[in-house]
Amino acid sequence: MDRYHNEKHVITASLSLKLTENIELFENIMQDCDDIITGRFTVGKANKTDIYLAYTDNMIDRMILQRDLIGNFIYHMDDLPVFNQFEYLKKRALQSADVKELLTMDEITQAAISGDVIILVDGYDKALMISLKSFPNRGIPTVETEVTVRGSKDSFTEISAFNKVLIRRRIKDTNLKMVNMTVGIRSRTSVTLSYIEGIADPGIIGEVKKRLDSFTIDGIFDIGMLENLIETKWYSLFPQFQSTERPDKTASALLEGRIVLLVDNSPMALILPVTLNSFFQAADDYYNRWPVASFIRVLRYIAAFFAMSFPGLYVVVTNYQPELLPTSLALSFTAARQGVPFSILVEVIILLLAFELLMEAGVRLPSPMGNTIGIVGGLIIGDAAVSANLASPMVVIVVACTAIASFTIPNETFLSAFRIVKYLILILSSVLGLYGFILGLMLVLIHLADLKSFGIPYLSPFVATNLEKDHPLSDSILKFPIFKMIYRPIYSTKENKRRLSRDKSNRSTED
Amino acid sequence: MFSNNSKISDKQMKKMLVFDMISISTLIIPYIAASGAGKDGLISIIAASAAAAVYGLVMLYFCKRIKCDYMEYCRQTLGRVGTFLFGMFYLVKFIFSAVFVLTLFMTVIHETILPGTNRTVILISLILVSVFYASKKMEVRARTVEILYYLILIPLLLLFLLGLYKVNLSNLLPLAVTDSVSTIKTSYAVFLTFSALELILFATPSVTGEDEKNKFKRKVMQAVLTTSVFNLVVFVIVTGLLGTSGAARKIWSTISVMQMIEIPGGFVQRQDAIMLCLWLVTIFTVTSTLFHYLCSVTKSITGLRRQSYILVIYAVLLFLIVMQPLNLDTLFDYYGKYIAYIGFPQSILLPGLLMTRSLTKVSKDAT
Repeated sequence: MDRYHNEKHVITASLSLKLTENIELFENIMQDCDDIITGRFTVGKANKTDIYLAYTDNMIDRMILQRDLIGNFIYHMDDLPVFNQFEYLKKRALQSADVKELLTMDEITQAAISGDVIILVDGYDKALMISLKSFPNRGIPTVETEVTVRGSKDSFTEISAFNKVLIRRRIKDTNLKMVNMTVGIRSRTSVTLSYIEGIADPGIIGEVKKRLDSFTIDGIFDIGMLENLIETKWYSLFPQFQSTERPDKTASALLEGRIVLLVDNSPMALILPVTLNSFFQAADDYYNRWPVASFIRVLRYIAAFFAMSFPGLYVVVTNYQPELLPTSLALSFTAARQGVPFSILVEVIILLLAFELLMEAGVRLPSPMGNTIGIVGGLIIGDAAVSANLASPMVVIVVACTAIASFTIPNETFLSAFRIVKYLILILSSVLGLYGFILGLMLVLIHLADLKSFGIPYLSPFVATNLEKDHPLSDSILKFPIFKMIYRPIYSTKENKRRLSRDKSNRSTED
Repeated sequence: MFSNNSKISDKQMKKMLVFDMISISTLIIPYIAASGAGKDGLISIIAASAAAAVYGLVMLYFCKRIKCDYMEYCRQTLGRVGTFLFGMFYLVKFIFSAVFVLTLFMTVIHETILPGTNRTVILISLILVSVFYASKKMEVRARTVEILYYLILIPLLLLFLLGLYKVNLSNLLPLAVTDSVSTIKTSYAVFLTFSALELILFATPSVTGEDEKNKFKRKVMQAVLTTSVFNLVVFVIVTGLLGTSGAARKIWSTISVMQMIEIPGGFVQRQDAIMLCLWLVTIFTVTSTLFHYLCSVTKSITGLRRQSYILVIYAVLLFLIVMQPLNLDTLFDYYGKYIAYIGFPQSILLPGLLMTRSLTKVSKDAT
């Protein structure tokens, strides 16, 4: 808190009718902000008045500013009246539809540093804001983490306004609401709450707003920070929101009755509520043929199980229950471990950790060096470790298969949970064998059964099937044909469940 | 938004009942039926199932009359002191059941999967996970069972059925060779494995909605039927493979049979481990159910509110009891006698007495 700001970092100093006082106040608040460009002009011929203009360098469209704004002020203000000069300037001088009056110094400073142009007029304790935003940006990028073979390739970007456009292009419905909110008392980050009225549950919308208002923070810079602030089970490894960089996935979620949060400067959208099932859905499941999509979905579920349990299972069959396997296979496992000085648990943990290090290094390395890490890690470390008898070939296979299995999960945040869970199951398996393995799975299952996302059980649609009577499993492990997915899933209001109807009389007579 | 009301559906209740009943019955019914009635164990199981259906209807009748939480009804009818005494009967029963169940499971796990591991470690882990599970609300327990229901029952059933072609019919037939008294006694013993149906009294208030309560009758009957079918399959397989003397040799003769069944394909050598894995999952539902109701009754009779403290107390208490050098066969014998002479009669008499007292109280107030 300082002499201009209160404890919530809102500027409380009031505006004056005198331009000089307002300028002094503004420049004191913006002291040492050398990127704020200001200018003072006298406009009018017979009746003159002083105006003061301010904006942030490189955040506005300079050409429009100079041509349409400053040009008008200098050359077209001959008829400036004596009274109502503010209104005159607003209507005649500013050739822009996006003009707003600002009544407080807090709004004025915020507008100036957010990429708008503010104009103070002598004799008035208010200002005009003209939106001439033109941020440096990287355009509409291509998807990087949720790559699909079919479907659109555009991705969200850091500019929230662009992201809203990407969604609007896909849903041209007047009921698609975009409610702007501000989070962070210093960062004043723009957060947009988007939903389709009539489909999204009003209770959930209210709950989201309540949670967004439930904290005061300096600033947020990414959707991940917002997620951490508004989730309830913060200690859970499993995400209670779904993040995506794909606009088509976001639009699809909105049509299912879910709610989307967009955060300025974050190239992802946050979708809620969420269920375990939604993390196994990929965008191209809906663009491909349904048997293929179903097959791949089943594969993902199996892969998720292996991603979590494969190392633990390996320890069980080598340490406690080798009789589970055929004798020849058990013998080859044992032979492969000949000369390895570590216990199986230590061996598996070393290789798992080595893989984790490789993954982290691969993410941080600049892309020209990324290939090198693949060669170094995969060939040199893996091969050398086996040759030096530090690890058995079987463990290398187990770790590699675990990694491959985990990468089939389309959502990165969800798959991160498996990176930790597998260690828990591994340790329990190494202490208590098959019994410990089951204990681990039970603990995970109980935890998942306890999780809820805005009141919806995390394990839906596999549990609480009485809540969703109409084809609850049509988009779960198997993906039904699109014409069979008549009803929206559990998220939507009961009044608007139906999303597809077919006119039988208009069906093709081909068959 | 969806409500957070700790209510479950009748389907979920049914699945929980099935798990509570089959987790133990699968293991011990072949022993009980074969040792008591030999080949006529089959008839005993069928008779017991019919009796269980009637017992379920009786429990449902009590629920219909009670209409609210059972211990709350006790308090309204008997007052605090009466409720305390009433509650003690149930606490003793649940504690004894928990001791038996924990000892049985600990022994089975120790002797089949972890022969080299200290029993204390097995017991501690079993209790800890059960307590963790019991600390969750009814909804969570119901959802867990919902997920596991088909994942466990279908593979288990299929694995048992794989042993069908090895069954020696002479081990099962002819029927009606044992004296009727033994058959009836065995029927009663088998029927006692359905005693989890008593939990309907405690659980019904958690079943949501009036409609669900009416459908609940059908679901309870389905639960009894599912359990009975399972028991019959297990008995047929176990006795068919081992014979009546083999089945009667050990309390968990089912485990011995699991080792005899072969899975085609030859990828897995020791399939009993897989079957045990599947069965192991069900034990947590039983143990957590017992912990849950111990907690629930204790809260009602003592007025304590913090569930976590109560769970810890019972966890420690049960650990100390189970760690005593108890012979499983002796414990099984005592537990069987307790349930037969006290446990089961109490499950009918106590609600019956309660209802009678309530009726007399109502007519007294009316006059």
